[in-house]
Amino acid sequence: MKNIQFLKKSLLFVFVGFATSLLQAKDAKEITIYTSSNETFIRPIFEEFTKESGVKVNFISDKGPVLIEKLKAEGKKTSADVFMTVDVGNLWLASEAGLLAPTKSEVIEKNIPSQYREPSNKWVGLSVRARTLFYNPKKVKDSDLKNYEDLATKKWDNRLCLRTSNNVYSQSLVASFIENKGPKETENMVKGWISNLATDVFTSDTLLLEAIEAGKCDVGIANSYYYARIIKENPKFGVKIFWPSDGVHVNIMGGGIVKNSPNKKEAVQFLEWATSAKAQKLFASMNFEYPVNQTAEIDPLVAAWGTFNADKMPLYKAGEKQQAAVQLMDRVGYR
Amino acid sequence: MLLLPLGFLLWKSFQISPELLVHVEKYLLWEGLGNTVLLLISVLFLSATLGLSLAWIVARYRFFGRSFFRWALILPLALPAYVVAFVWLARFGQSLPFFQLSCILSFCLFPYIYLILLECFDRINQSHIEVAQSLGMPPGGVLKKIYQPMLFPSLMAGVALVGMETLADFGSVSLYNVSVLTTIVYRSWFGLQSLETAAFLAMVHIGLLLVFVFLTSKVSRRRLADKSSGVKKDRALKEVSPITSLGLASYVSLVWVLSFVLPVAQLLGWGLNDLGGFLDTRLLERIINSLVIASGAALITLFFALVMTLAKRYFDSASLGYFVRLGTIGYGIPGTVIAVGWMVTLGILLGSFHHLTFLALLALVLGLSTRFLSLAQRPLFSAVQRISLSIEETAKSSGASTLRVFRKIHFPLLSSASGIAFLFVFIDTLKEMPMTLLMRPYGWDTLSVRVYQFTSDGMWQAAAAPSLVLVLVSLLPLWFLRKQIQ
Repeated sequence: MKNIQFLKKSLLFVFVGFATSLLQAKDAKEITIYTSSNETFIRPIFEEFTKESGVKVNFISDKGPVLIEKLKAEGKKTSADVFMTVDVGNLWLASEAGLLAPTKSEVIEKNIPSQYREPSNKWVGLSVRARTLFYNPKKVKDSDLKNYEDLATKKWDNRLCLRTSNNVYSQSLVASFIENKGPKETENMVKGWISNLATDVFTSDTLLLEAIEAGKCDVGIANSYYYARIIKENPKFGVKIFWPSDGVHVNIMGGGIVKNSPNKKEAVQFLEWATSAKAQKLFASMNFEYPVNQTAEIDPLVAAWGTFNADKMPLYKAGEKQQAAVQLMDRVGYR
Repeated sequence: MLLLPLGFLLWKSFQISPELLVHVEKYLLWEGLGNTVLLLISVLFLSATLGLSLAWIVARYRFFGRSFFRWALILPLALPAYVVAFVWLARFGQSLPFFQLSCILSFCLFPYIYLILLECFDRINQSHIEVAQSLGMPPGGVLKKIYQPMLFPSLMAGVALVGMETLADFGSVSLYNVSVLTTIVYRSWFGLQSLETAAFLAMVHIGLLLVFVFLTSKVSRRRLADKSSGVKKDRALKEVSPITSLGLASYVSLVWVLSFVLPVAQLLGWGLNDLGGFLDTRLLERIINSLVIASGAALITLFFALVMTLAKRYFDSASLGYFVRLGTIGYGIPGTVIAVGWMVTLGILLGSFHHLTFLALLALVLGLSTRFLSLAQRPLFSAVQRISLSIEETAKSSGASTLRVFRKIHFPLLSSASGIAFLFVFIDTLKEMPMTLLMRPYGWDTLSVRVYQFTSDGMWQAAAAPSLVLVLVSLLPLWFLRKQIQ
């Protein structure tokens, strides 16, 4: 009898212990994020979220397409809750592959303009980067410049610098033109660019901007944040930014909820927080980009360049056209 | 283990869309293939010239600074090619990309050939040469009859390593925008958004790689007529006139300065400009993580390589030979491709396991061993080829067991090659990025990942500080090797 009592008691003890450990496991909330952002930049933002919400963030970083394959392979066994990547082409691919879940959230819809979201919020833009024109003021006047297409005209013969077509930002720029102007006109424009090149294409926007300052070419196309990084180090850097009035090409860093996410509630909590004005300021300033939430503050260094008129095309269209863009660039010999 | 990821790629490559196949064939494939072969040939020629001449000079002549350079010439191994590439790009701009790239890769990779040959020169039996010379054989004959058969397996082992690493290189070629097979693999995957096309091109790449591996092993076997006893003899150094000594010293130091001192000096310059880069709160953690992963990978890879080498020795069958060669091609496959293949295999089987630190580390280390097996296997294999079969037979006929043969003959004769093998894998793991990035446990930062975070975004000056630390950490094992080499 005593033995049975003892057994009962010890069983109860084990059960209680087991139950509390389960509860504890449930209590310690955490989410897992797959991101293509630079760890140095993104880590402080995740830490801020943890501080405010108590939800711990695990993350893995790699290139967007690599993470997409990872999500595909892991399928239902994945521990990823949120997928974040630069370039709308990658976000589009992930949602096409059925990896992202639609999210109904008034908070997100209020914070983010519809141009920067997938219609059912499978992905949401978190920061905006502009790919615009840069020029050497010693050789070019502000009034000489018009827009991207103008760079294909004879006037710019032997004066243009471009980044390699292996880069996703070059690809998205051409993709957006295919969507806006059609493949024929775009192909002619890109051909014009190539014949105007002053030197081989560059493998980085930083090198390209430095080449403009060094006078190797007069004008080029680059992402605004590379320019900001240089200006921060060297305020006297001899290159100026130009915003085409008929629309500036923009791209986003964005995120979405993973379809097989084991912690959907916390994942939505993270995404809503990420679109808030406070978090948006962090996202934008980590890399001198623009916030997607219009109420968020812009970094003063970036704000000094004035406002611009972003291309109105819904961004996912550029994702659809990326393959065609790369094929077009192969055809015209854009390296 | 290697075959699973390759199987995944093969399966994917069959699903390539005909439209993209036509496109790739028309615009990308032939140029990429041509550039790859051209780059391979020029890097092999340049690095073999450097490696052979330097090993010869250092092993045979007494000149000023010899014992220092004997060791110092392996130091470029500590520099990742992509880091040297961004240094050169910043210094010399992007003109003559092909020429610059050949130089960069050769300067980074020649130590493989140098080190393997040096070990070989040390083991060539001096008495053979003396006998030949005393019998009136001309120097050309000595070279042909004695050096060539003994050197060839080693030279080919080095050449194979350099060739495979050149074929696998993505970091440096992409910085110079030279279109080779690896870059068009990525263009197809990331740009054309077609993993299938990328897998198809990766298969073309592997085909080329197999041809290369086949050629190098064929050449090295054909010449393998003589086997030395492999006993270390006193080295007889040639005395030379002061002028020749100066000439030799200046050639050797020129190569050393170009391949090691200049890149490091540039990194130091950038690093000192941005001292904040060194004030990295997680630095110690990163160093320890890098060391843990590198030693784990080196040990496991060495173990696999030893098993393979001895298996081939004991059961010398043709099919086993093919299998062993197939097992070592991982080194010639671009890091990301093999990493993704491995990740997909594990992902399908296990889901994600980055929260289980030990399992993730084990998967990472095993994955690395599939990639670096060749690095460990080549030196061991060329060393085992030099062990005369007659020694084994004598031992066996006098009643020694297989285990005893291993302990008393193979182990001592292979120990220095094992040291080199361990070191090669250790250092390459420290520099390795794509697999580490993809497979590491949550929060496990390493030095190479840190370098990548900056270089991936063109922030090269910021990458200088972590690159320097990476080089310093890689120098540690090279320092341990110093005694053995000198």
